[in-house]
Amino acid sequence: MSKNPLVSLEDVTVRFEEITALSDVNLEITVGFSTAFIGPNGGGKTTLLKVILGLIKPTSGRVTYHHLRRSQIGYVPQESLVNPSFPVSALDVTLMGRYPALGLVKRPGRRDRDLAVTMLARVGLAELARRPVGTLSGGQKQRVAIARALVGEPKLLLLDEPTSGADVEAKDRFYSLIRELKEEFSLTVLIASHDLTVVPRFVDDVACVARTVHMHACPSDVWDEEHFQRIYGTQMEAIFHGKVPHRMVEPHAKAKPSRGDPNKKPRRKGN
Amino acid sequence: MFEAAFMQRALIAGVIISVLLSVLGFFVVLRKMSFIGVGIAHAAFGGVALGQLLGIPIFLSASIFSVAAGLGIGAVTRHGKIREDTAIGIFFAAGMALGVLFLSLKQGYTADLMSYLFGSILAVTPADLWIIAAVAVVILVIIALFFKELLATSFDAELARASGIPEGVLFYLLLGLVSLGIVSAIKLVGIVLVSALLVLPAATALQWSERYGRVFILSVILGLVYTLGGLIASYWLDIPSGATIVILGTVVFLFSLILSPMRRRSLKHDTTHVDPSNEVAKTD
Repeated sequence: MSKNPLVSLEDVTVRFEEITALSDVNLEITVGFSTAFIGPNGGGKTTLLKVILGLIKPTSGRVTYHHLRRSQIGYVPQESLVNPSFPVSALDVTLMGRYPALGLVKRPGRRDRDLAVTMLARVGLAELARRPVGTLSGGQKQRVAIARALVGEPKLLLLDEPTSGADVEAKDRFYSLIRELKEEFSLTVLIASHDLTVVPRFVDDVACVARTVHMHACPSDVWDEEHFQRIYGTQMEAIFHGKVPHRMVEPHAKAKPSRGDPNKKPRRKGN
Repeated sequence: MFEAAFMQRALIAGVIISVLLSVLGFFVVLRKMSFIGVGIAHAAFGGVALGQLLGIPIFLSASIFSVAAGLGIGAVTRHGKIREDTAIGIFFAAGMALGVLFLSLKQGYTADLMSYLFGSILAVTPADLWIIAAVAVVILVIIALFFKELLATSFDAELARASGIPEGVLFYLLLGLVSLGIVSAIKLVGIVLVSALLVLPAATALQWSERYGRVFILSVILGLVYTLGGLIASYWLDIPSGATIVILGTVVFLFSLILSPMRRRSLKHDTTHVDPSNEVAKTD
């Protein structure tokens, strides 16, 4: 139990008809921490985020918010802004993040617009503000979604597979940006990802989600082979083969102890 | 032509209806729900026939049928396991079938049935005009109040819901308003053609701009042009008003499609802009 929880989940179970997506999840989200939800596809990461968001009501169990209003949760879904023909600019979409704060009837004013422009600039899209959002690339849309979340002045930011499909460099830049934003706006951050290699280097905690939350610990403690086998099963193979080659070197090149480097064990074994 | 009282009423009703349906159509088209108007309008036929059978106000009975169909289609697609097009097909046919049944129960000649199906500029009575005006004021005020929320939920329903906007309520509210808007236009444009007036203005405006504000205003202007142009042509050429309006709108739409700066650009983007983020890892 942490001293300063923002959201607590107690015995949360979510069933969709016959399928149990999450079972008996106990989890505390600590204020000011960033946590990666790592796990195989279909392991329930998105469901867990949506439970925390309040989009999915748990079948059983309890979610408690501590001094956190729903409008203070920013959400960046896996596929953001996928309505390409909708006639809105990046700035319009960002402004939509202000709507809940404005309340009904009131239109966005000068201050809201300034804030939206500032946030778009902060995520590096200042010169694309007027562009129709349908013409932006996937990564740019993702950053618009972040700007949109930020203008709502959130305390908690949830990101669902924010970099699927991006290359390693782009991922590094992306998570560096998230880490900066976390400090700058005193955010608590949750990132769902099946990416084992990049994400853990940028977060405080790693929680492994495969039907339930298996552990909740510092990245350096997480990666031993036994845990991998239990959580990923055969999934592990696929992820290693698909993503590893670029990354086997990179953590060592930095002087840091390879925090959260899953290649540690397999490599040593190979030698 | 403007001296004739029926024509004055038809023109005033036309102005109100085209503004109303263009505004509603803006959201309907952006939400990709264009086909829903067809279902709602045809379901209203059951209400029209029931009104004639029982001798109750037809606006009332038609409204009940169309709102029930609109909300029903919405509820079935949202919570059931039925796709929207299937639901529309069923409500559409059920409403028409009830209409045919009610008409067969009514003895004798049903005089203005054709005008309900295909619309008539002769059909708008002074009482109709007041009802249309009142309905339009209520609907437009509600839209004005919730404009930004309707825009956000139309753009991305889940994201809107996540940020605390009552997306479900707004969804049913919009369906209810669209249903009422359609009923108010039936007499002038007809059940068969009213959905075109819902879809054509926004669909055409989208060919010309990627700013929602401009699309919105252009929709309203186009709706006015179609309706007034169609009514005047219908008067002079002595052809059915609904058909004239829709044909005019369709011609403008086709020209817009050919000349559209959007289309040319989007064709370019289709070939040069493959989005890599959509290719990998979609599950969970």
